[in-house]
Amino acid sequence: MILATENLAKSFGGVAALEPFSFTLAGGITAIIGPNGAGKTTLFNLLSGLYAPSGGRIRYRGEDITDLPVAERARRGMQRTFQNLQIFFGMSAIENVMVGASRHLRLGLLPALLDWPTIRRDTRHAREAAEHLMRRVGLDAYLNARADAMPYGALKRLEIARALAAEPDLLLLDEPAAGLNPSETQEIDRLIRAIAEGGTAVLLVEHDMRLVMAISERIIVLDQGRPIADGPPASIRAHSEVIRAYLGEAAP
Amino acid sequence: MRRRLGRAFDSGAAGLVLLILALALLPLGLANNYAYDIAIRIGLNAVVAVGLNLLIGYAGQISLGHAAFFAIGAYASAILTARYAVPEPAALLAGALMAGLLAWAVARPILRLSGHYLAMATLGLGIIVSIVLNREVALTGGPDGITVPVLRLFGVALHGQAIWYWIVAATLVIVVWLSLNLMRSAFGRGLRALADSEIAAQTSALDTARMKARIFVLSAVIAAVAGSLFAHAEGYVTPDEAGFLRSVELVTMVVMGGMASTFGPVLGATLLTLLPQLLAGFEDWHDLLFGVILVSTMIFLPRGIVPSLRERLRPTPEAEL
Amino acid sequence: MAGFLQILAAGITVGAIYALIALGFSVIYNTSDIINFAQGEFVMIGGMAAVVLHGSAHLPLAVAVLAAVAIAVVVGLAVERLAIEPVRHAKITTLIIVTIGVSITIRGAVEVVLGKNFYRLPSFSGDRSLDILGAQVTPQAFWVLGSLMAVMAALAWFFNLTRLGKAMRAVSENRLAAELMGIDVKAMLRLSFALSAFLGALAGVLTAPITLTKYDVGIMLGLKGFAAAIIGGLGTATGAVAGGLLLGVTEALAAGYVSSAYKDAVAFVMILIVLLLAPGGLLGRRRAQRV
Repeated sequence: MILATENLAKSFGGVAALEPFSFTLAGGITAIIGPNGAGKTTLFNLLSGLYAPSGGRIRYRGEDITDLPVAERARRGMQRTFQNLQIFFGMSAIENVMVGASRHLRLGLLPALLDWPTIRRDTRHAREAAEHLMRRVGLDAYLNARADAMPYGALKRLEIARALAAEPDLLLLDEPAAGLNPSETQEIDRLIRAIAEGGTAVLLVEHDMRLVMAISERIIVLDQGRPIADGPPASIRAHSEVIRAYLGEAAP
Repeated sequence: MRRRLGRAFDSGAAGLVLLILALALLPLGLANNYAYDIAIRIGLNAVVAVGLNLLIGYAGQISLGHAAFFAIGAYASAILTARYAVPEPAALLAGALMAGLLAWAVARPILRLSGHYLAMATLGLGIIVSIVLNREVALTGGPDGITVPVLRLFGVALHGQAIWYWIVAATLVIVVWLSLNLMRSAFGRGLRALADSEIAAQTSALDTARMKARIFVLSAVIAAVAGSLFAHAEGYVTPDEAGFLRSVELVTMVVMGGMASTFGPVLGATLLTLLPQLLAGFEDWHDLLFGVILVSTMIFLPRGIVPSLRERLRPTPEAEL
Repeated sequence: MAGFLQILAAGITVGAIYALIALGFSVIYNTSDIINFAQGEFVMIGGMAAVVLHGSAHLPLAVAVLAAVAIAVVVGLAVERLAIEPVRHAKITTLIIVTIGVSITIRGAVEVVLGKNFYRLPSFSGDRSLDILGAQVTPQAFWVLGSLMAVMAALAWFFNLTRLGKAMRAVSENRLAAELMGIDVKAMLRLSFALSAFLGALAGVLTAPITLTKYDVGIMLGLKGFAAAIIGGLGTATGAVAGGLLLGVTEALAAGYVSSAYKDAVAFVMILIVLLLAPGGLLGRRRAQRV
């Protein structure tokens, strides 16, 4: 059991963005879909620690992380990407990825100031690992590039590479295919499958139905802050409530 | 070969060597005590600016009150050595400690703020310190300041600007070296990351609050050390050293010379300390010129002189010097 | 009791000045999220220009005062056009430093022309104090308070009942939507600087007879006005006025009953307290960040 929530809920000033929501995640690729305002990003922000819940608990690998700050959850192996890119634009592409590995690195101020050999070694390893990761996600062309000189599609993959640098057990992908053309989306498809095969549990929020249906083993559908379906793609496709939620009327 | 040279440039090693050479050769051009005075002033400003740059340029924060830490170091050294016959190195440590403790105490709550609020909070802190230094006449000598006795090390009186030049030069080299090391490390990358997106930095398992606090304290301690050296080199400290205008000057040195660049602030300190000298006889015009330079730099070279120059010369830099 | 009322009266008068300056900050901040660190210089220009026009050019006081305010408005527009517009979308640090640079430039220019002396502007209605419940209140104090009330009424009318004012409010609520609706955001920014300069200069001419004026009065007055704006809550008119009056009165009380040496520190201690406990200020708006 990688992730479990117990009545996890969030309200903003009296408006419930997420009704008490319980679910468990063992592994594989799970997608969370739903119309806008359904509570998907709220859920992600609760899981990664950006929002404090109005109620409920979150368990990650058996540990109650509800009160832990973002960095602590990341240290335990939970990573995420963002809907609105949060790239470090002042740094080079490879440095972005190197920062992703921070949870494994020594971050003492004094050793850093004095350039102790361990620090130098850490940097060398981090750079090698980052290079390796960038190749893995198909960013070979940008190994020497600055982040602010990269196209949108590449930046989306860079964020994923950065998250992978932490060798996460759980990866939250927030709309990884948003704004990508079909061939770029295909690459993301391949990438996500490879990540899951590597043993990382993937939870993704996505609007691209083709991608979702193609790669997910399990789909959870949210509507207005509560789940209305939870199962394999085949069962979701035909689910009448899901169709109603998206189209607002009974299925033909 | 070219790649290795490039790597050397990127690691700042070349810059450091150049700096050492420049500092070693400079005295050949210093004709009299007055010139030494200026060189020492430039050096001390550069030390503070390099430290402040860690906070402003790399960590992306702002401090409009850093002169206060400089002054704390200066006054600690001055008062302890003049009144209580404390040995100078101990007084310097005491000053650094006091500045560090103050910075530590306010760091976490203040650095939770950002943008204008952070600017105002640091400004408020700086002004309060400056007012205290002005008003507590019994302790600090008030607006008239305090005279500092000549530094004695192992019984030998350290007279003469030449000695102070070398002490300050050595300090500058050390601080530059520390800064270069820091920026090459994971901590340094983490700082630059949190400047761009604090949320993503936290998601990358960086304890941003703690990192910001530490760099704030570090830059405060560096400023205090420079202040202590200033007290002895100058022989005199006044509360003006803590004022808002001094803090603005320090920020200008960082911003104009180049943020996110260890050598930029050195350049900025040099230019801005020399400015009044170039305007000798036209003191009234100093403020006006300073203001115009400041505004123009921010409009035309928003990243500062060194990074903008570097961008022209090498289009794809990696780690910043 | 008379002593207390005297102090209170002085505090309210100074507080009203701070309120005017704080209103200037709020107007620009509301329209553009920019904190104009040069606000204090508008105050200084108001006072200094009035002194020069009245003292050297021998214009009648009323004309000098109005002309001084007009000059400040022109300077405000120039500042916006030359220094702010080019960096409108830059990082906050850049903007802060630009406005600080502007403030230094303006101060420097006045220093070159008028030197570092103190200058005095005569009171608008003479110096015969009135006795209010034992406190001596000068006519100038009534001018200050009256002006503040007139300004508040005028601003309320402007922002609520005129098209221009409502357009400015639209920009402050949602810049993108305002732009899409055809509102010229750049022009609104220019207007906000003009209005802010007007408020600052008004404060300057009102206070010059009381506190004398000099090339660098803008620094402290600007900072304290900013402090007032933050204390009351950056971005709201009521906050600016409340913050200003609160600051003025607290300062006066502290100076009168605790220690006059630390009078100037009051504003900054209050800023720290407010920022550390309630950054939105007592009445301010909160802005959230979207991910």
